Amino acid sequence: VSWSDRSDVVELTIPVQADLLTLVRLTAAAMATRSNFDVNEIEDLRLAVNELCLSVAADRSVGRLLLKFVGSADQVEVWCHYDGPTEPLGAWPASTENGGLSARIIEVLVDEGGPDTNEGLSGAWLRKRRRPQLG
Amino acid sequence: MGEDFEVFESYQSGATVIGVRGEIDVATAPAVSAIVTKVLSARPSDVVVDLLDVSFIDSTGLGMLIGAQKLCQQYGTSLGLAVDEPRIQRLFDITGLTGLFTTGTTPTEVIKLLTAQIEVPTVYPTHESREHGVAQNGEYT
Repeated sequence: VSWSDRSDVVELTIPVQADLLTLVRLTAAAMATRSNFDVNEIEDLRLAVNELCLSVAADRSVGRLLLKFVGSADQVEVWCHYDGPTEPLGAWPASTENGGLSARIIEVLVDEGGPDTNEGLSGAWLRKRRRPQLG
Repeated sequence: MGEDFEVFESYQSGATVIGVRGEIDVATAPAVSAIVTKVLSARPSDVVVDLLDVSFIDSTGLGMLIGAQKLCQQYGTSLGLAVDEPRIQRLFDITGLTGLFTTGTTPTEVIKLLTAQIEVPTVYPTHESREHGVAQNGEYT
């Protein structure tokens, strides 16, 4: 089965808890590695997914984040949705103090992304493609 | 908080150096912020945040540094950053924060830059300079 025929799908659910973002970054790095990203692209994806989670969590400290990673031969897509008792803020990136920085970082580091709603849960997604290999 | 994370202060050539090791993110940035606040309470003239052993910094970490810079400006303290990792330097570039901080590749270099900024002689207006207009940095306006 070639890469073009299949995708890796990893789903991760974490409580909205600051120290658990390391799990998200670890998963992002693993997916990027499986998609043959180079070192810089792996680091870019780690940071972008970190910012995606911060944007979706939007300073909340309760609830959980539902993440879905889909990796293929030349790209990784990530969806992040918030599931919790507080009202969604409705904006993406979040209107938090660092939201502007998050937005800029995501904008520069990934190829596509934006807000997303799934089964009534607000969130966001991004897609990062691997740079074409020279030669 | 990550097991490898560490933040500590030391003194070098009259400046306070806040060293950070590990990842600065939403979990660890408050610890850095706390030590910055503690250091600034003594009203030092120069503070360097040493990021040489920082492997990752996110928007929370950047926000913390922006907050530290604002606090330093209130206290009349000069703040500089020691950064030598291109990936972290790039993050400052893409977020437009590069010009906000005095940066160097070692704490020693940053301290020299901060000290040089302080030692720039003030040019007091003379009759001639008042006619032409001389800014405090000595340049004609």
